[in-house]
Order: sequence, then structure tokens, then C-alpha cells
Amino acid sequence: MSPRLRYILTRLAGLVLTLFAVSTFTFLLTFAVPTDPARSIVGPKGTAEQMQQVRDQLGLDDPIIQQYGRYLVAVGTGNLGYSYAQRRPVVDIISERLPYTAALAAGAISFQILVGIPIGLAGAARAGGAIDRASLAGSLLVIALPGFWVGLVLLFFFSYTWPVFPLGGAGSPLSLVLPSVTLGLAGAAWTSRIMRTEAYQFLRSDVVKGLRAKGMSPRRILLVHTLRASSGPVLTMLAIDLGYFLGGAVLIESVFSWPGIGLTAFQALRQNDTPLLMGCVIAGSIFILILNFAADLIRMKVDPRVRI
Amino acid sequence: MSGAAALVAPAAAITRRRGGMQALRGLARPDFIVGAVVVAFWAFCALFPEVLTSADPTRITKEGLSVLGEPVPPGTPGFPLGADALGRDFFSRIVYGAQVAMIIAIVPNALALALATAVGVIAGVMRGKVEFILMRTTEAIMVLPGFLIALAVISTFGSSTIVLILTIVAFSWTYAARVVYGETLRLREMLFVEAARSVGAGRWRIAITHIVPQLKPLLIVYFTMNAAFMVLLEAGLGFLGFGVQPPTPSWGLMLAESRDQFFYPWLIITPGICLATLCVGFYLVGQGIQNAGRPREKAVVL
Repeated sequence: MSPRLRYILTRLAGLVLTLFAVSTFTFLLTFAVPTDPARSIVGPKGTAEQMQQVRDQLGLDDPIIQQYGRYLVAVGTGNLGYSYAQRRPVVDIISERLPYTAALAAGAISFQILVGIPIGLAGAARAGGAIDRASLAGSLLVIALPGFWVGLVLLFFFSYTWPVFPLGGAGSPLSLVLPSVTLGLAGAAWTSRIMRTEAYQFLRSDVVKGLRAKGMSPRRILLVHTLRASSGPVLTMLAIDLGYFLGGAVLIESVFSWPGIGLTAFQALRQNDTPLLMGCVIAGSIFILILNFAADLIRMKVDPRVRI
Repeated sequence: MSGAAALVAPAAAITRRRGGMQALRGLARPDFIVGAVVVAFWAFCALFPEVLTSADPTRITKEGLSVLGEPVPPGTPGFPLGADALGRDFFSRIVYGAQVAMIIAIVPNALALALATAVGVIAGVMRGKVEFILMRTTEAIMVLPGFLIALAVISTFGSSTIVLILTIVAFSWTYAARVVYGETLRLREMLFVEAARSVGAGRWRIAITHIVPQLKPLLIVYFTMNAAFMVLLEAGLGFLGFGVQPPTPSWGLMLAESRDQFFYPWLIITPGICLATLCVGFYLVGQGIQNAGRPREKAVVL
């Protein structure tokens, strides 16, 4: 077995193990929640017999270890239970909301790429210059802003005072703009900083001296070679970010009433809909784990020197 | 959840050779000074709020509302920053809000750092199975949707201050543990550790008297930068109603209370500016300390 394949298999095993740990955690949390599942299902008007019926049906009186086993099998086979509030499978709700979260994540990542990479590249090209200093200071400021507050301020200016964009929801393609910018803003600042660091190092390497000596134009060096040389860390970061965005941007989705997984999780929390909330936690973990794994693969692909 | 943490270079080094005064002179940099002044200002607000305002931040007043029941705007006599929707003095709420921010910046931060140091040093010194288990666990926690889980935990166990602090700790020590671990691995190969070992110092003696003191500069930088992250995390939880509970003034909670008040923009703008200035302050202090340690390097940030 090649070391690379072995590394990938080890990581996959670790991924499954982590998911197992997450399921255990959500199971224990479900037990700690003060709401009685039977009561939540039959509703406030349910009789004692109805509640007992539900308890028998769900096996709520079985030993904990037996319930735990059942839970693990269910999660392993892709069954995340039934939502108390919506009375349908959690998996259905999540797959219904996933496209919204995916659209928002794609929007945010695009913003990060379109804004962060050019700024970082421009800064590195003239290190210490006006653009460089402004972008370094500006990115520090942006990182320090609370994202949800940026969302509120954008809503105030561009939806309320000067109504270009809708105030929230997912009614038209325009609704996607402000949430994407808000979610991608801090990431764009990070992207520009990482891009700048990487490009700065590359531009001082012997490779660039060689390319210059060969007569290559500075523009080509910057736009082709520097971009390629810096792509590893930048792509890695973008992949990890994408995972977190897919895992549910609770705050941003809540500010913009964007009907994705984050808002669903928050509503579930508010309604004591434990199965739906735990389902969102598990789904979120899966997205983050997979994208983190993808980030490692990208790192290996782009930079063969990565230690395995 | 490790955004802020990534600003810390893994091998932040303040050389111990330079004595007290000289080390202080290294801090005479604009970024450090600006950051320190901002943080000191908010610390002052947190410690001595009554010096700045005599109004009670939780008192609901009639004077804070106009005849139509609208909150009075900034600049109204007696209400320098206006009033909120309940007629409470907004300036006093902002000043007292610094208390929550400062507590969150210090208490869970210090606890998280202590935990991270313990895990990182033990894993780095023990190696083998202990190292494997500790570091894999750290990485596993690192990739969880921390914010969502924090919400779930707080809603389960109630939003008391202790639950809030412990939850913040539980999801914010991992990145620091990795950094400490890496630094421990580097330090344990150094000559002074070998020297200690050659005169018979045991594993734990080396860890406590030789490795942990060397981590101090790294931990100081990490503490300041992570403080900003803590403040933003609490604000986020507060915004969703899972942070400090009303009527305690907290900037995140104030934003939650005024999220739909577009008629009264000062209620939305001011708390955010406070959060941002405090966090920028912490970042600048951290960056200043970090760069003060390497004076010979050209002034290139990151």
C-alpha cells in the first residue's frame, strides 16, 4: 500500500470515528434535554394512554444502552428521526433546506475569491505600498467586525434607507446578494492575507528570478505563476470555509431570514424540536468533515511535499 | 471557530535575553499603542462605569420616550446616545455593556488557554498513545460545527453565566492546544532541554520548569488575539438570545433587542462599533507584542 493511500484510508477511518463521537454526543444531549419526547409528539392535549403508546412505539422505556444502539444504527443508515414540530422525517427537511444553504455558501465563497485574491495579489506585488498597507489594515478591521452586525447594517442601508435589495427571505435572486457578501466578508479578509503572504514569499524566490531572466513579463509572472504557486493554502482555506458555511451559518441566515440549514437549526432550537436540531448538528458535522478531508486532498495534490 | 487564532504565528518569539526596560521599548509601536489605548478605555468603562454615567442601565424611564412612545434620539439632554425602545439610557447601557465583554474576554479565555496548555504540553512530552489520543480528540472537536453545538448545549443546560463560560471554553481551546503542542515538540529538541535531561531531570520536571516558561510569549500573544474572538462569540450567542440574559446590558444582547428597529438606527450602529473597536484593540495589542519580539525583521505584517 502506498503511503498516500494509507494516509487517505487512515483519515477516512478518523472521519467515521469522529461522526460516531458526534452521534454519541447528540444522543447524550437528547437525554439531557428537559422536554419529554412523548409529550412533544402527542401534544399538550394528549392523554396518558396516547403518551404510553408513543413511549412503547419509540422504545423510550428500554434500557439506555439499547436505545443508544438503535440510535447509532439509525444514524448509520441515514435515518435522523422525525421532527416534533413538522411531523416528518428530519432528513427530508434538511434535504429541502440544503439547496438554500448551498446557494448561500457558493455566493460567499465566490465573494471571497473575487475580492480576496485580487487584493492579496495586488498587495504582494507592491509590498509596503499604499494598497498593501490599506488592505492589511482594512482586513484586520473586517476580521474584528461581528458578521451579523455587518448584515444588519447592510440591511439598514441597502434594504431600508435605499431599498435595492429585499429585507430578507429568499424571494428573488437579489435576496442572495447581501447574505453572501456578509458571510463572505471575513473570509475575503483572510483570503487576502493568506494570498498576500504566499505571493510575497513566492515573488522573492529564485524561481521568479529565473522567470524574469528568461524575459517573462511581470504581469504573466503575477497572474499565472504566482497564482499557481499560492493556490495550495488559498484553496485549502476556501474548502474549509465551504464546509463551515454548509454546516449552517446560523447567525447570518437568521439575520436575513434565509431559509437554510442554519435557520432551520435555530428554529428547531426555539421550538424544542430536538430531533431536528440534532439532525442539523450531525448533517453540519458531516459537511465540515468531508470538506476538511477535501482540503487535505487538495493540499496533497497541489504540494507533493506535504508530510504524510 | 479558530479565526482569530490563525493570526498568531506558530513560533512567536520574544527573546528572553532582552531585559525589562528594553522589552518595553520594543512595544513603542503605533499598532500596540493604539490597541492598548482602546482596550484600556473599555477596561476603564468596565471597572468604573459610574465615573462616566450616573444613569442606571436597567432603569426604564418615561423621559427616554417621546410623547408618541418613540425612543429619544442621541443628543437629547440627559441621553447622550439616545434611549432604547424601553426608554433606558443607551449611553449607560453601552458603558455597562463593557463589563460583560471584558469578563468574557478574560475568564473563558484564560480557562481555555490553561486547558490548551495542559493538553498541548502533555501530548508533546508524553508522545506515543497519549499523544495520539489527545491530538486526535483535539482535531475532532476542532472540525465540529461549534457554534451550533454551543447553542444546543446552552439551550439544554440553561443560559446561566457558568454554562455560557464553560461552553465557550469547550469550543475554543482546540486551536491553541495544537499551537502549544507544536511549540512543545520544537522546544523538547532544544539544547537546554537536553542539558536538563543529561543532569537527570525527569519528564515532568522538564515540562514544568523548562518548557512551560518558554511558552509564555506565545501564550500572551494568543491570549490577546483570542480575546477578540471570545467577545465576538458571546455577542453572536447574545444576538440569538443564548448569551447573557436580560436585563444585564451586553452589546450582543442590545443588538438582538434592536435588530428590527430600523427607525432608530443608533440602536443598531452603536453596539456594533463598540464590539468592533474592542476587537480591533485586542488584535492590535497582540500584533504589537508579536512584532516587538522580532525587531530586526523589516516591518512586514504577517
